[in-house]
Amino acid sequence: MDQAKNLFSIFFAAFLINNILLIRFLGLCSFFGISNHMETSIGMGTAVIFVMMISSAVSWTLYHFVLFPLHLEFLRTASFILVIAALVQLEELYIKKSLPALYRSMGIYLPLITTNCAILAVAFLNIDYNYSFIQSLVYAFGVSLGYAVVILLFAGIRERMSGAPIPKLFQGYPIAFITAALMALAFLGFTSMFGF
Amino acid sequence: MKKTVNYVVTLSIFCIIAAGSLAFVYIYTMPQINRLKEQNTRLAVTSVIPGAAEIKEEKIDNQVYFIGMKDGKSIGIAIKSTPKGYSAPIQMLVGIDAQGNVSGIAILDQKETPGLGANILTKDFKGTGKAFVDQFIGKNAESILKANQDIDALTGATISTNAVCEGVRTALKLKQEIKP
Amino acid sequence: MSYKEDFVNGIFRENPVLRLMIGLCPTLAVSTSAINALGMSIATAFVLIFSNLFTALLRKIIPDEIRIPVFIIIVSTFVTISDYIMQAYTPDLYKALGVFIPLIVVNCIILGRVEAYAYKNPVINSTLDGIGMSLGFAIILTSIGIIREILGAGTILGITLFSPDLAAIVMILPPGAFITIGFLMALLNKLEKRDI
Repeated sequence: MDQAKNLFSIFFAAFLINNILLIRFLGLCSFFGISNHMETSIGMGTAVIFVMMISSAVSWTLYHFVLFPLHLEFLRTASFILVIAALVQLEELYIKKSLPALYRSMGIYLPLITTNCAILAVAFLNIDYNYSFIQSLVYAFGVSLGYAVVILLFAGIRERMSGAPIPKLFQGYPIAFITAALMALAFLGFTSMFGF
Repeated sequence: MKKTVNYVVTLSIFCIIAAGSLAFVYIYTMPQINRLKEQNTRLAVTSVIPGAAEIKEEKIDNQVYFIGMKDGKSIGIAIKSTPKGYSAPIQMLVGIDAQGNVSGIAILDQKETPGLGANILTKDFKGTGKAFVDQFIGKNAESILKANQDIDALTGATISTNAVCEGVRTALKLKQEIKP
Repeated sequence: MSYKEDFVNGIFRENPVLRLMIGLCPTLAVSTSAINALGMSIATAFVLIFSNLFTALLRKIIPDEIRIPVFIIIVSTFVTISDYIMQAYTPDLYKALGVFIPLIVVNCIILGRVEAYAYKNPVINSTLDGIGMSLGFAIILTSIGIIREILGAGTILGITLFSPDLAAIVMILPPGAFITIGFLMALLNKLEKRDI
């Protein structure tokens, strides 16, 4: 029971309270780059959920069964990024072959997922927070779901905003940042929920 | 074929050189990092048990605690406690003297709201010139330990104040369990 | 390009943060105070300059097809070095910057410069490019840090300017970062218009 409660609080903390995009500021390049269309946001959101779960599982195993026992902790940064880069390549091949429509809509952003710092950050944080394997997976799922939900909401807002009369100076990225600020303000409201 | 071999060899050479130089940096900086860690623990423990000259680390039921020694006698105990703060757990160290009174508190790590809850670190609480956590000194297991009752709350941060109270209460309880 | 152009390019015309929209994550996350922003700038500069230097030095012997993995190895080596050095000699700063130190490895500024510039240019040009880009990044990061620290905490580099009761705490909370960048970009638009 206690364990279920613990996993639940890890999930919600990752999903809403410490939202990866709005509160932790990770993965922002793709966030602003890709969020002007609804479909690409859906594609990116699912890709991030998929890659983040797998890369968390693999990097956790790599650290706890190879790097730590062999005292090679100093290779953590290098090995994690290489493993994640390889995983993303595999995923790219798979999507290209089996889901060509999705592949076209994602354009150049799929290779960029390698340098999506959110993926690597979650791999590091799983180690820093001393999470067990299950906790890591729950954490990765919460984080990536938070990413997907926020990027979708944001794309929805930006699509509607494209027809709004915005002062010339603020058109484009400036207004996007200010929108993000207001969303972040709303997300701060989750902070003390769930007794955490 | 020849090309592939060439790639593998080049890549391996790069990996080996990189790993080698990293190992060198690691071996070179590790003693300093460990020394810093030890020094920080020492500083924290001596700040919550005034007068401790020596520190003994002990572990009972997975709970690490530190005994402050002076002239070969134990003068107090420092217990780690991690109450739930406003946005994340607060890590703190509570020093308790031989009589069971709080002798000092050190906040080791916290992620409270900057400007509000993060003021649990303040060294000048409401212009008194004393740290916020100093008001816990002298409290014991019988104290109420509640914001706005026997503890002055931080402006706009009652939850963080109560979190520190909770941490002190847990430490006092643990102390009764591990030692008469 | 002349040496001077290499140097100035990164500061103005191709300023990484405001123009190229890269390196956003650390910019937003660590700019809560001037000193954190400065620390992050120095760590990033160290990695960028040395990665550029070594890539330019080795560019003749790196095969084209495996250049990306080699770049990743070079960059992550310097990231890990700065990680350990900061941990050993500036522990407070290390704690404040947290997971963003190892994440320098996925800062698009670095891989981007290594791939687009250092791989094709001589050592001196590449080093100057690294210094210029680092300066461009540092100037933006530090100005955002200074703005947020003054408005949000009423201090500058820890020196009190006015009573914290008058400060808008929201500026050092996550939304403040988005607002600051949004307005800075609008300001840049404004300045640009006057030029034309």
